[in-house]
Order: sequence, then structure tokens, then C-alpha cells
Amino acid sequence: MMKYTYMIIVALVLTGCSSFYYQPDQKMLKQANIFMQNGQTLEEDSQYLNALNTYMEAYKRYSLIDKLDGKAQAMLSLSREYYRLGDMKNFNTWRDSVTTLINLKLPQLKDQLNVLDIEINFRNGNYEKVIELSKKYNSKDYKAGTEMCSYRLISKTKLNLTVGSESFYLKRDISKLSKLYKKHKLDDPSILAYAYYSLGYFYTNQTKYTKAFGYLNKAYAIDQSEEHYSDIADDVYLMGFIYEKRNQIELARNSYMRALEIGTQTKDQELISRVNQRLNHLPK
Amino acid sequence: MNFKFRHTDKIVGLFVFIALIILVISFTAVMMHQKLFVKKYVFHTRFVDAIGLSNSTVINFRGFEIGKIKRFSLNRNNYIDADFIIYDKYMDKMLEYSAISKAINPITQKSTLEFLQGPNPGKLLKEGSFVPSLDTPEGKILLFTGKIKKSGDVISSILASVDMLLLNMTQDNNPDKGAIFRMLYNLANASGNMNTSLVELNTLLASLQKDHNPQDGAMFRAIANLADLTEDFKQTNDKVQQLLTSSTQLTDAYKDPNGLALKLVDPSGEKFVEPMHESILKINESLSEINKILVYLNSQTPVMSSILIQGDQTLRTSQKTLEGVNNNPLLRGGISKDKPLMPSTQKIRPTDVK
Repeated sequence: MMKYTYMIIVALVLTGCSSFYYQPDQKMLKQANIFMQNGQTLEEDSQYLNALNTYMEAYKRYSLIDKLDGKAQAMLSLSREYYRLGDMKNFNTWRDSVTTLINLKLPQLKDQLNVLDIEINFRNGNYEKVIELSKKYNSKDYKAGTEMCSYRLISKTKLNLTVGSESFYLKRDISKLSKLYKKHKLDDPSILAYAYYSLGYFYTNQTKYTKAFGYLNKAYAIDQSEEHYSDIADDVYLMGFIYEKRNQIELARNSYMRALEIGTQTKDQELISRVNQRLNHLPK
Repeated sequence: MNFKFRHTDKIVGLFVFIALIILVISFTAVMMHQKLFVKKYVFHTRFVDAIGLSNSTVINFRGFEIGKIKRFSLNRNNYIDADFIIYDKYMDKMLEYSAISKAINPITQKSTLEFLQGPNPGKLLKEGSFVPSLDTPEGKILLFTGKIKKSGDVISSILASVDMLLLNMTQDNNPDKGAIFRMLYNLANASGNMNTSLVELNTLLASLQKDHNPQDGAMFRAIANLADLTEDFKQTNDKVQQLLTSSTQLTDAYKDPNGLALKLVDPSGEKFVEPMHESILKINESLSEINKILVYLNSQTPVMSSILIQGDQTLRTSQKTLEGVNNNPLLRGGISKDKPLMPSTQKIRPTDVK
């Protein structure tokens, strides 16, 4: 009897002692994640230098606990920020490092690397390369696939190439993503908004304004709920363009004015000048 | 480095086993308490109403619980048919011509059932027999013929005494019923005499209140003359007072020229002076209220500080508790670990339409 009593007491003591156990890895990981989140917020506010420093802090913490996937994510973000700041030397260094890391140890992140290359080429207006890169779809992550497909659709539209299965695949992915979005299970709803926007852009160029307007409206709804103001500005700008083409001048003016308002708030000079140009073209 | 039990499954199994044993013992104890294993005999009875009756109403016999109501229902003749059980131990008390007495506690509105045993020694009742209740004619016959005796109910006795007391209090001329009633009787008589005296006093006071009442006697005439005299004196005094007031106002006006100016601007004082005065009074009231609020807020500063400190301490404690819960080896498998955050990509949007 005493034997069993001792056993129970020892079990209780061990259970109690285990509650003092400390997990430095988890704490550090949590900190790094917070830095990544803050970096993203700063990036959305166009504070690229602050975002770069914040991502650097996240990178240091992921490195300390040797969290390779987190490290690679931070490196990708650092590369992106260096590119935005025009520091090509550092961009190339970080991009090469992250490419080596992903190729050697993290093949599941190849799509993320691919997206970075697509972004750079898209910014440079190298649409043929974007189309080529977007076909390198490695993983089963259809979110990355959706983004690449959107880039391909826009690039083909810009190059006046015949759009093949892109719109079909995009609509299929949209159906999956919107189900997740409705259940609040989509980590990054901007992917869905981007897919809608790219279809809206494609149909606007095709002068199929009704379809285009429907997709842009959906993109606008998501961007509004996510409070992505620069994206909202793009949505209302294109909607204004459609109104203008349909000769609904007052509605067009209202849309442009909304875009202008956002541009003034976010201090986006390019957007302001573009909107002003369109407003000047509108009949009085 | 993660700490792990080598025999976690055995320890958990042991705890589960102990818990199951405790559960079984508890169930057995409850069942024994409910006398589930005791043999019971079912009998029938009938009541006039089911007020305060429930399926758990027990049947007592000289303070012992000998059984309880099993079920009851309303029959076609608007009586309540009830089945009750008697425990095996008390089966020998169920004699012929026994009855059930149902009494309702007027305070709790719950029924108590008393088993009234028939003549002892007597013939034992068979299981399933009908035992009448005192509500029904059969029960009343048993009581009337003296085959059963109903024991006194404490509450009923108290109620009867209260009833008697109330009856005596509503009657007159009963000083022989005790000291209280004698006192009440004397008090009532004294109050009657006092009433007569008060009527006379009332007449006297009425004469005093009346004016010009020479028929009431010399004293009242003298009082009336004195009243006339004081009336004349009052009128003279009023005239002197008016004269003095006018002269005082005149001298005051010459003494205070500012007052004169104010009278020139706003002679009635309704348009300027009074509204301003009211406003100043209201501002003064508001200032005192604001002062009170400020004093109160100032006095609450230490409380706020202590609340903040306590809140901080609570958060720290809860953080430690949650950390402990998260690190518990029994729970750790159930909580998903943090993953590196995947940053959002740029998603460049073109706006140039051809």
C-alpha cells in the first residue's frame, strides 16, 4: 500500500515540477513572428527602411533558434525591402543567400522565391520573364499558384497575348479561396483580392465592363474589410475608369475623388497625378 | 530540452483507475442511501388533492420513515390515486384498518404523510391492499369508529390557539378572560370618558375662537374689547412704519449714489440685474460641483494607482499560470506550436488600361 502511495506522490511532484519548464525556443519564435508582423504593417504604410530593420530583427531571432523556414521568410522579406530601397548590392547578396538555403534545405519554399523573382521582373516590365517564371509552379500551395497565375494573366494582357487557361484556373482557385475566406481561414485575403483584381483588369482591357466591374467590386469589398488603402485606391480608380467609359460621369468623378483622397492620405504622388489627369479629362 | 515521463501512460491509467473506483463507490453509496437494494411492498391509497405531494414524499410512522410515495395520478372521479411503497423492515406494521393522514404545512406548502396503524394486534395487510387516507370517507369512518387515532399536529395546535386569541380580541365585555383582556376593557372605558371631556373642551375652544360673543359671559366680552383695542393699535403702528420706511429709503438713496445709477439703468431689476444675479449664482453652484468632482478625482488617485498595480500583478500571475498550463506535459500535445509567419507578398497592381 505504501509503495503505491509513494508512487502517486512522486507522480504528483513530477507533474508539478514540469510546470516550471521553460521554452526559450517558443518565446523567441513568438518574438520573431511579432517582428515579421510589424515589418509587414510598416511595409503597408510605405515605411520601407523601418520595415527592413524590423525584418532584420526577426531574421536574427529565427537564426538564434535555428528556425530555417522562418529565416528564409525573413530573408525573402529583406531582399524585397532592399530592392524597394534601390540597394541592389544588398538585394543580390540576400537573394543569393536565400536561394542557396531554399534550394538546399527548403524546397517547399521555392514558390515563394519564384514569386519574389516574378515581382522584380514585373516591376521592371519584363513580362515575358514573368510568364516564364509563373509556369514554374512547384508545390501544392494553390495560394502561391493563384498569385503566379494572376501575374501571368496581367502580363499576357499587357503583351496582348492570347489568354489561355489562366482565367479558367484563376476562377477555380478563387472558388477555393473564397470558401476559406468566408470561414475566416484564409491567412492572407489579399491573394483573393488580387485574383479578383487581375480578372477585373483583364476584362477591362477586353472592354467587357460588366464582368470587370463585378470582379473589381469583389476585390474592393475584401480590400475594404482588410483596410488595404492603396489597394482600395486601385480598385476605385479602375471602377472610375469603367464609369467613365460607360459615360456615367458623376459616378466616375466620385470614384476618382475617392482614389484621390486615399492618394493624399498615403502621400502617393504617382496615384495623385494619375487621378488628376483622369479628372481633367472628364467633361464638366 | 523537453522533459518527458517514461511511464506517462501507466500513471494516467492509474489515475483513471482510481477515479473509476471512487465513482463506483459513490454510486453504490448513493444507491444504498436510496434503499435501492431493499425489498419494497406496494400499497394503494387515495387523496382528495395532490397539494404538496411529490414522488419523493415519505411516509412516517412515529417519526420513522417506513416508505414513500411511488406515483400518483388524477382519476376519473377527481380523486388522487396514489401508489406507495413500504420497506421490508416495516411490513409487519401494515395492519388491517390502518390509514394514511395527509397534512399540509401552511408555511412550506409541503405535504407530510403519517401512517396511522390499525388496531394492534390485528391482521397483516397483503401487498397491493388499499389503505384509505383520512381525506376520503373510508378514512373518516375509521377515525370516527375509533379504529385509528390521529396524533396532534403542532402547527394545527398553534393555529387553533391563534384563532381563539383573535376571537377574544374581537369581543367586548370580557375582563374575566385574563389580564390582557381586563386591561383592554379598562382602557376602552377610560377612552370613552376621555372622549366626553374632549367634547366639552372643544366647545370652550370654539367660544374662544369666535368674535363678538357677549352671550358667552364677562370674560369673553373683556377679551373681545381687548381684541378691538389691539386692532386700532396695529393700524397706527403700520402708518408709523410706512413713514419710517420712506424716510430710510430716502436717506439710503442719498448715501449710495451707485444704487441710484443702477435704478436708472434697470429700475425694475428684471431685465438686467436679476438675470445676471441668477447666472452668477448658477455659475457659483457649478463651480462648487466642479470643485467637488475635482476633489473626488484627486482622492481617487491612490485607488486608481492601486487598481493599476493590482491589474499589472494579476496579468503577471495569469501569464505565469498560462505558461504553466502550456508547459504541462499532459496538455502540451494538445496546443499547436507557433509557426514562422509567412509575410504577405507585394501583389503589384497595374492601373494602365489600353
